Amino acid sequence: MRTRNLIMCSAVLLMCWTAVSLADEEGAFVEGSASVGAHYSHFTDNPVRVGEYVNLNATKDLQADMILNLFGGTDNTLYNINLDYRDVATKSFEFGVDTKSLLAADFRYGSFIHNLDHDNMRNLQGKAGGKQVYNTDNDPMGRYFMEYEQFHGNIKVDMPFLTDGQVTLGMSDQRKSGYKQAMSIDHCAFCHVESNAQRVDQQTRIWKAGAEGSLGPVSVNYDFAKTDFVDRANAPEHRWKTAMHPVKGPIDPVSGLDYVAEFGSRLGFHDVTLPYARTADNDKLSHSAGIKVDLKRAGTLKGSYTNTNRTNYHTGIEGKFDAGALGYAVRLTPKMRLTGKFLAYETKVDDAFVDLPLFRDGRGAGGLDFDWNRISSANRKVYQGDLNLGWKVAKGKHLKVNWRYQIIDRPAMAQSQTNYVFDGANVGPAGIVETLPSEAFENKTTVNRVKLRYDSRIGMKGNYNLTYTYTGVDKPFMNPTAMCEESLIGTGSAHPGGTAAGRLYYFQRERFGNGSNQASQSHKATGRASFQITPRTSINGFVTYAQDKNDELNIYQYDRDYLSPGLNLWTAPADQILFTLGWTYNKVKSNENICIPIFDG
Amino acid sequence: MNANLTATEKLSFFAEGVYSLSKGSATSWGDVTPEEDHHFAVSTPDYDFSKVNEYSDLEYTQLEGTLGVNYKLDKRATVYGSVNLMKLQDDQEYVYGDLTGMIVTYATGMTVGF
Repeated sequence: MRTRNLIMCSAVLLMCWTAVSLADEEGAFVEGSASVGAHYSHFTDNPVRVGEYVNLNATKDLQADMILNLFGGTDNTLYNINLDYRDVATKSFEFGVDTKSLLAADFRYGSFIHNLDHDNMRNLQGKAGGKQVYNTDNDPMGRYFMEYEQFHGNIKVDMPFLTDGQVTLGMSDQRKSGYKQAMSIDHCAFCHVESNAQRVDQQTRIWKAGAEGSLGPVSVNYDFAKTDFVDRANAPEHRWKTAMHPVKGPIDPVSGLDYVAEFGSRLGFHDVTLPYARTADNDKLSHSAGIKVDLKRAGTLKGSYTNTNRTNYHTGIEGKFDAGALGYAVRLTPKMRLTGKFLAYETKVDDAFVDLPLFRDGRGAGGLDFDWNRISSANRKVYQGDLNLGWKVAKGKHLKVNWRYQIIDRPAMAQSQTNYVFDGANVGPAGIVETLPSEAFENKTTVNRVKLRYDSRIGMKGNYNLTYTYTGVDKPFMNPTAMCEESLIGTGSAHPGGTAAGRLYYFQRERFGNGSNQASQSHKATGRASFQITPRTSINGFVTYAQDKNDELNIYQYDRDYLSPGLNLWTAPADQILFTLGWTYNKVKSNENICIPIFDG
Repeated sequence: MNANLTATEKLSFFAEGVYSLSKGSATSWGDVTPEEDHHFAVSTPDYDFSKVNEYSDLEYTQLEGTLGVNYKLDKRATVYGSVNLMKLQDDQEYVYGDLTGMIVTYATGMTVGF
C-alpha cells in the first residue's frame, strides 16, 4: 500500500503541475477551492453502529484533513481534480481529462472503513433435560471491520473513421481487508455454536477492453472483461469434537457400549481440526457483443450475446453463462409505441461429486455408500419475452402496458439433497425395501405477468401514477421435501445396496412436506403522488399493497400481505432554512409451517 | 432540517440535522403444538415459543446534527468551525447487544477559493 500511496501522491503532484502549466496558456482557465483543517472525534458507549463508516482508529486523536476541488481547461482540453482526505483510511481522489476530440480518461481512488457488528450469541443458550444449546465465543472482545480500497481507471480513444467510434480500456482494483466474525457448528447441528475472528485479505482485479462504432444504420459494440479474485488470508479453524452420546458420554455406564465407535461411524469426520468459512479464489472471463440496426420507419432492431466462464480454483468447478437477446421497437402511431424483447440464457455449473466415507463402516448392517452427485441449484435455462405498449392518452397522461412470459427450467429444483424415497411397502424393520434416489419433482416454472401503469399531471403543480401488477406462476420454486418426516420405524426403509438398517433415520429422512416462500399468484398495486402546495412547500406520498399466495403446496397454503404507505414533506420557510419530514410504515403478514427438530429430526 | 443564517457580511452560521425513529415488531406465533407424532413418542413437548416473536422487536432512535460558523477573511478566504453529533439510542437490544452510542466531532480549518 505504501508503494501505491507514493504513486498516487506523485500522480496528484504531476496533475497539479500540469493544471498550473495549462493555466498559463492562452484561453486557459482554472477554478476551484481548497480547504485545510483539522478535526477531533471522541465517542461514548458503543460506536460501532452509530459510526458504521467512521474510522474508529482515528478517533480520540487530532487528525489533519484536506479538500481540494479543481476544474480547468483550455480551448481543447477540460480537466478536474477532486481530493478529499479525512484520515489515513478515509480518503478519495479523482482525476478526469477530456481532450474533446481524441482521448478522455478518468481515474478514481477511494478508501473507507466499514465497522461490523459482533453477534454475542446470547440467544443461543438454554437447557431443558438432555436437550441443550450453548455457544463459545473465542474472541469475545473482538471488534470487526473491513477496510475497502478501490482504484478505477478508464481511457477512451476515439476512432474517427467510424461514427461515434471509440475504443475503451479499463482497469479496476478493489481490496477488502480486516476481520469479521465467523461461526461454525458442531456435529449436533445447532447444539453448539462457536465463533472466531476471521482474517480477510481479498483482492478483486478487473481488466476491461471494448470498442463501439456505427457505419450507416448499423451500430456494433464488443466488450471483454477478465476478473480475478484472491483471498490471501487463512481460513479460521474449528475443532470438531469426538463423537459420543450427547448425554451418556463416550461409554455407556451400564451396557459398556462404545459410543465413540458407534456415533463416530455415522459421521464423515470427528476429533479433528479443520478450516471453515473459506472463500475460494476464482476468476471470470466474459465477452459480449451487440448490434443495433436502424430500420427508419420500420423501427429499430437490437441484438446481443454474452458469454461468461468462471473457475473456482479451490474445488476446480467451472461455471458457464450464455445469454442472447433480441429487441424490436416501432412507433405504431404518433402517440403509440410498441417494443418487444426476447431473452434467453443458460447457467451451467459442473456437478460436484460428494464423496462420503461408508456409513457405519464395520458395524452391524453398516458399510453403506451414500456418495452422490450434487447438481447445482444455479443451473437453469431461462426464456423470457416482453411486450411493452406505451400510449400517450392525452397531454400529460400516459398509459403503459407490459406483458411478460417467462419459462425457468431448473434441473435441480427438487434435488437440494439426495433423498431416498420409500416405495410404499411396509415390511417392518427386518425386511428389505428398495429405495431410490429422488428425481426432480418438477423442473419447469412458468411465469405470466401483466403490468399496467398510468401517469398523469395534476394541473401544473403535481403529478401521480398508479401501477397494478398481476403475476401468475405455475410451479414456483420450492423444495418438495422441505419438512415433516415419516417415521422409519414400521416402514423398514433401507439403502438399496445394503441390508435393513433401522438406525438409518439419521440419513433416511422421508420428508414429504413442500416448502416455499414463492408465490403462485400475486397482486400488487402502487400509487404515488407529489404536489407543490406553495412555491416553498411540497408534499409527496406513496402506498403499496401486495397480496401473494401459493396454493400449490401439499401441506399448507402460503400467504403474504404487504402494506407500505409513506409521506414526505418539504418546506423552506425562508431562503436559508429547509425542513424535510419523512414517514414510512411497513406491515408484512405472512405464515410459515415449521417442523421443529427434536434430536434426530 | 437545514438552515443558514447570515449574521453580518462576514459572519454566518449554519445548522443541519436529521432525526429518525425506526421501530419493528412481529406478532406472536401463538400456541405452537405438534400436530402429530410421526416417530418417537414425544411425551413432553415442553418447548416454549411464546417469546420467539420478540426477537423481531427493534427500536432505534438516531440523531445526527451539525452546528457551524463561517467567517470571511476576504473575498476568497474563509475560516470555519463546526461540531457534529451522531447519536443512536437502542431501546430493543438484538443479538448484537446494546448498540447505543455517540460520536462527537469538532472541526476547524480554512477554505480558499480560486
